[in-house]
Amino acid sequence: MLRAFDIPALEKQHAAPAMAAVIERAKHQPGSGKLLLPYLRQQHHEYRGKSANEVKRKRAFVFAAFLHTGLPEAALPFVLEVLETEQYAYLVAAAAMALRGLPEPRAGLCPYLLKAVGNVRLSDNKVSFYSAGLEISAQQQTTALAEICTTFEWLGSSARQSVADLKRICKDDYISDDLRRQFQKAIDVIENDTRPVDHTCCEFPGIGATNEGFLAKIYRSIANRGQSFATEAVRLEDHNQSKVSYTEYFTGKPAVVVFFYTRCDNPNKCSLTIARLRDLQKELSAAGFGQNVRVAAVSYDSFYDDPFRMKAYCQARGMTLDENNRVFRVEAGMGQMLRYFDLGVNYMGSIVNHHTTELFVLDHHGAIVGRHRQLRWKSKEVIAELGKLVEKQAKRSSKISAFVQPKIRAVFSAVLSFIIVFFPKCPFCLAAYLSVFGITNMHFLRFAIKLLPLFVALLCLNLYALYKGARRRNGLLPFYLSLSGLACMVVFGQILESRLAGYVAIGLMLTGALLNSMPPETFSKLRLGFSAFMQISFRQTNR
Amino acid sequence: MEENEEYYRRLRAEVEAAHNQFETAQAAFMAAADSASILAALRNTPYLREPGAVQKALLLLFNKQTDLEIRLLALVKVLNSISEDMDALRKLLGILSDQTEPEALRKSVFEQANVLTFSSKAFAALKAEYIEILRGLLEDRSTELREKATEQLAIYKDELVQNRLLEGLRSPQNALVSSAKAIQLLAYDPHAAYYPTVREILENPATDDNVKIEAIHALAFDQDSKPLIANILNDKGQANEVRMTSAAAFQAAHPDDFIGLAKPLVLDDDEESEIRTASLNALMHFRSADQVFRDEEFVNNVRNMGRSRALARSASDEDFNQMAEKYIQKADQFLNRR
Repeated sequence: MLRAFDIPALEKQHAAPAMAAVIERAKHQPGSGKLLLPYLRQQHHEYRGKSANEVKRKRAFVFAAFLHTGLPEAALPFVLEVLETEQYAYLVAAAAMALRGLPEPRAGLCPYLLKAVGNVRLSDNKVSFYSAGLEISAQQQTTALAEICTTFEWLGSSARQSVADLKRICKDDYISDDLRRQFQKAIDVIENDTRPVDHTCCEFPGIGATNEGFLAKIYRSIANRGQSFATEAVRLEDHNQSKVSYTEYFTGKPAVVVFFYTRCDNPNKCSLTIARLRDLQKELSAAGFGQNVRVAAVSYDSFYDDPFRMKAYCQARGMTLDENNRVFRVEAGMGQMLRYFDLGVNYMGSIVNHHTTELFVLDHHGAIVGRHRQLRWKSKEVIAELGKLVEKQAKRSSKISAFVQPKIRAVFSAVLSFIIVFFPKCPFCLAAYLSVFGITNMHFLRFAIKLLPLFVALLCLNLYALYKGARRRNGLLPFYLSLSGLACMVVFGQILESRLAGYVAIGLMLTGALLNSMPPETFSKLRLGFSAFMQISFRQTNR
Repeated sequence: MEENEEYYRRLRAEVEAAHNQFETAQAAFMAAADSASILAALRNTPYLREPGAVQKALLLLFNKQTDLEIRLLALVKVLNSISEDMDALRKLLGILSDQTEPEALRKSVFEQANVLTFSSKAFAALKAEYIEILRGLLEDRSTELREKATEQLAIYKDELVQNRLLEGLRSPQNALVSSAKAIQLLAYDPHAAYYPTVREILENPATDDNVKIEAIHALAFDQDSKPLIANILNDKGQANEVRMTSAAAFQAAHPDDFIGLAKPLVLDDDEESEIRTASLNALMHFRSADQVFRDEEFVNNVRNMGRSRALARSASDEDFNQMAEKYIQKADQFLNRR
């Protein structure tokens, strides 16, 4: 199953072809919905520099195309987000159409469709997905409410729970007679449909500490460590004009961060985000975490949102502002913030043109441990995650004294620096790393099985380079280690399918590459030192 | 007590009289057969409420043979009664989109439609159709209707009209409205992509001052336009009104940076008095008195402008002198409190 965090890799594949061409091609290839997945992310480069209307229209064409290609599971949160929050007719119509790309109707979609009716009933408009160039057209027009109605019809028996709500909509004075008739027809279809109902859907818990897989945790931990160096450059200014660094505020206690901006014209997004953050603050206090957790709202719009504006905006929505509850703008390092959080936002110049709703849970190192995106976060989930972090921190603090922890950090920093210094700059060695990581983790990527021959070829190329360069570099030891790694991976990892073998193989090949890239004099010292150690150990053993 | 009773008695009598007058007017309208009597009856009635009267008024309104003045009056008098009648509203919108109808009637329908957007639920249900009609009016032969439709669509942040307005700025022969108006309408939506085009217009020295003023308003909160607006504020070759608009825009968007720009303007004896006065006034009312009055050097410089201030030659010079006096008083209070 393609998951949301696989999408960044796909995005790079589609940087070159024009978006309209990709959509048109996908529409004629049923089952090719995954080609469109990269365009669902608000931060896709295609949307940079465009007006908000244009971005929404183009995204709408992507959603509408899922009706023809089928709707991949990974796209569903994006579709539901639109139905939950958007008032723009183009997007809502397209999202309703996209749902009909699912293989089967699901009862869990109904609340989202009903929400969309409420969102769009005063702002509906005629829209068209006729143009291959993603342009506005007067041909084959539809409206958001009409498409929602059609989707209810498609849901059939799965929408039975919503019949009472649909009947209420029929009585709504804000609905035209034509739509009233259409909704009535949908009710008739629903009531007469005898198909069994699928009640699975649509729980999308945030990706976080409570449900993340082991390897995903490792991957995230490595990514966070790397990125955390970048966030040291981030400077923030709070609602009282106090300036802090990212590290100063977000380390020491677990934290919750949301993003917003005061010029957001969608009341279901930023305004609601801050209002819900206020509610979360109350729930955190009630749960007893008020003082153990930091809460922050950070503006996407650092230029416009000065401290006075942010303070007024957040206070008007009832948010508590104090030492542990702050609202920030980014004074320096916005690029790092965008990359570190992989924020779902895009800009036209300095102005936000489109964004998602997102909440992040950070541990007491400031590392991201939970993400709640697209759909409204569930307070219980967030509080559960924070509770675990607070508990974990409390246990850690009692076990490791303040004296030992800095020492461990210092050692880790030294080791990391050592690895970075000696990281191979040789392209062959780099290819070896990529192929090692690729082969040992490729079972996560369904489509990448086709790359197996390439990974093996790169590994063999690396071995050849090590062998040929042995005389000039550090001898045959790196070659023997890397060969052992390859043998371990092929025999135990692929044939005997031992997962542990993958990690052993990584270790051997990395060590081989590391030793190969070491300066010869350093390698000699290390070898002499190791030999001396072995001699001493041998003598002691035989005494 | 007796006074209250008298008051209620008189009120009751007035209401009854008004009711009787209304009923008489309705009856007169129902009975009227020729144009003159219909017109007179419509003028005498505040509105039409009886179903029969409403039906008669609608027949008159939708009949192209009816006298224009009668149709105009019928529209106004019957509007409240048909505000939730979807069929009647659709026919009304039909008049708006029909270029064979008299322009005066179509303009009146447009005005009444604007009222209905606030007051009528049924009209809200027809919004999609209404927007489509407005888009059609962008090609209408009536200039006034074209401009009204353009403005209404801009209020709705309609993408089509935003594209047309931008196209009009780049190619004036295709313009729907004047450049100043186009920029004003585009600025209704800060998320529209007008910034580079409008910035180019503002940078052009040949641009008309009215257009510049609208451009400055539109670009006030655009970070990329900040240096441009600052330059205009400092440019003595620009018209005063343009520079004052720049000052107001800069102060609203970049208040902390505005202090650094405003102070040299205030102290510059060669500067226009109007600009100096406006800058000093803005500084005096800055949100953080500390940032303004803590600068003792600046305060002393304003105080020492005594000699140049004594040579006030005009009313605007006098205004500046008065402003400077107020500023010094305020500064003294602030500094003494510290």
